[in-house]
Amino acid sequence: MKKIKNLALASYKNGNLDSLLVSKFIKQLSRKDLKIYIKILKSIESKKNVVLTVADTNISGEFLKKTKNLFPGKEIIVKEDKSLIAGLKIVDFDMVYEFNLKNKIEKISEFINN
Amino acid sequence: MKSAEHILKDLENKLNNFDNKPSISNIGIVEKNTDGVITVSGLTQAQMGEIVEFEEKEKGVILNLDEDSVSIILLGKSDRIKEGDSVKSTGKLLNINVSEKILGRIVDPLGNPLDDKPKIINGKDMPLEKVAAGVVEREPVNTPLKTGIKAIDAMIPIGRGQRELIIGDRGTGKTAVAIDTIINQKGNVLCIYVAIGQKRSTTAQVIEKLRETKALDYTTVVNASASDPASLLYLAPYAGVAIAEYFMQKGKDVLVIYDDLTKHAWAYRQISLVLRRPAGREAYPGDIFYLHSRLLERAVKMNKDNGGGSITALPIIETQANDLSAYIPTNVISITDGQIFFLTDLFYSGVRPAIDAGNSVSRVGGAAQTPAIKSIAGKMRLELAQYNNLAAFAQFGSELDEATAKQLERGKRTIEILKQPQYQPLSDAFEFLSIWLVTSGSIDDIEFSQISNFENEYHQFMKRKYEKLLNALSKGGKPDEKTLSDLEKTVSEFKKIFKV
Repeated sequence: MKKIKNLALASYKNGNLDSLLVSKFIKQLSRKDLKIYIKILKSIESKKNVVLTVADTNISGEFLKKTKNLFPGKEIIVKEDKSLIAGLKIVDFDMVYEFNLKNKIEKISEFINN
Repeated sequence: MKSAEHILKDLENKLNNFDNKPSISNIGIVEKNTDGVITVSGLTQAQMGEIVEFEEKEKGVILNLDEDSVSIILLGKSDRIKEGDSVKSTGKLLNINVSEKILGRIVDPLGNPLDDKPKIINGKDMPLEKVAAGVVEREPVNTPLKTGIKAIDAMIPIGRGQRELIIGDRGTGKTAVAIDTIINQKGNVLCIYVAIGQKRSTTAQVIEKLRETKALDYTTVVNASASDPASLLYLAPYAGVAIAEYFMQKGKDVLVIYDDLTKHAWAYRQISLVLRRPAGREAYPGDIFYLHSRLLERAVKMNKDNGGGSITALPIIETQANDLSAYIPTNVISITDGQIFFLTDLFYSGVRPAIDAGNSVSRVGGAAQTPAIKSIAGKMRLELAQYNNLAAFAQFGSELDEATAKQLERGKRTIEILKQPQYQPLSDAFEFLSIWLVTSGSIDDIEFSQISNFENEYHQFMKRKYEKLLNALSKGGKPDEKTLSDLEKTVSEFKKIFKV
């Protein structure tokens, strides 16, 4: 596991996944190891991206710039989800920040139920 | 029934206290689900022992933190959890909600009711895992915890705040002694009975007995039965002690019975093996000692400055073929302040409770024994030890000198007087009377088969005619010469009316 993790980290050149290195490495891997290799690469990739889900994609460039500044070195991927009603949701690897109406309503209903 | 106005006001109050901050959560993705242990990637902010929540609203506890993943034990059914499900950390450690209302209730280790009554809410959240009280907050064991069982209170006395192990093979009366002890605590000590890995029918019998004897009013039963997940069995004793700590912090004396820690160790072994922790002796993990020591360390007698409450622990261990030297028994023996050893042979020869006086000991309880019992128990223990030595030799010789024969006869009578039926704990005064009868030689002339009858009827006689004397004895002070001579007179009087 540790060796495959090192291999996955070595597949990057200047912070980007290098296709040449990847094709070179996968020749050495068994099916089982390849599965782990892909999983680790996915995990590394997800750490590099921040998913910004909004209720309406009509957002200003200034807002995007501000969001980018909050997560330096990470790429912002914008997605639309009408079920949020209003506001947004930010997913940074395993951290989820909810600033939307749907979450707020859910929280109120949970609070009252309890 | 609440009025609509009242409900609305309640809701408004709730909304005023509503936390309006944006929600920030740490999530993970299920990678593997193996026998109730879930491996999750992500959850980088999670901490050991933290509760996590799955998509299906199932809850789990983090038990392993690895470099890229965490291992979680499920607190419910594992069949609904599948690969790819998301898991959310809650930021809370395991706890149980406790209030005064928990007395008389039967709950699971998470505080969920098992008795069709409403869940306890608005109580205090007591952590399941907690560091035991320090040296400065404690005081030595100095108050007796009466079991109502003559043999125990005289020879192996238990003090409040002590940890006394009840150990023996299956079916030797370990649980019966524990239940008798609970029954005898009415009005003095609150009780927690933790059933770990027991059959539901067995636990139901215990609960019924407690209800019948009105002992359930001051007892809480924490049940993790044999069919529950290993995680619940593992948590059950910690839930028991957490409930006990709630009452102890209020200055109350609490008795906790863990029935039994052998099954608790099995459950932890199962979890550890699935978590791929290195296995040691008998496949138990390396921290099996710590598992029980950190639990039993929470038994405590607090000093006056810290409320003066106490938690007395009576863990039960089941042995195989009376083998005290197995791994878990030796561990728990070394942790506790003494043990009461039950022997199968004694049990089947009619000595009940089947306590092996030679292998049983109480290391700190002597300090808590009342002067009354202390004044006669020492002599009885000595006579019993002499009897045990002589009995072995007497088997080889047919002719015995008078002194030896007398000692043997006294020993037999001592064993006979220590026999006691189940669910009939005795008061201090009656315990004193029974032991005094044998140590003073007052029943040396009573036919052996009539000793039990004589004892019972003498108790009734004293209750009828000499209540003042009984009250004096129940105070626990060492009886003076006059009291002893009065007692002798009462025996002589009773012998005249006692009919075989």
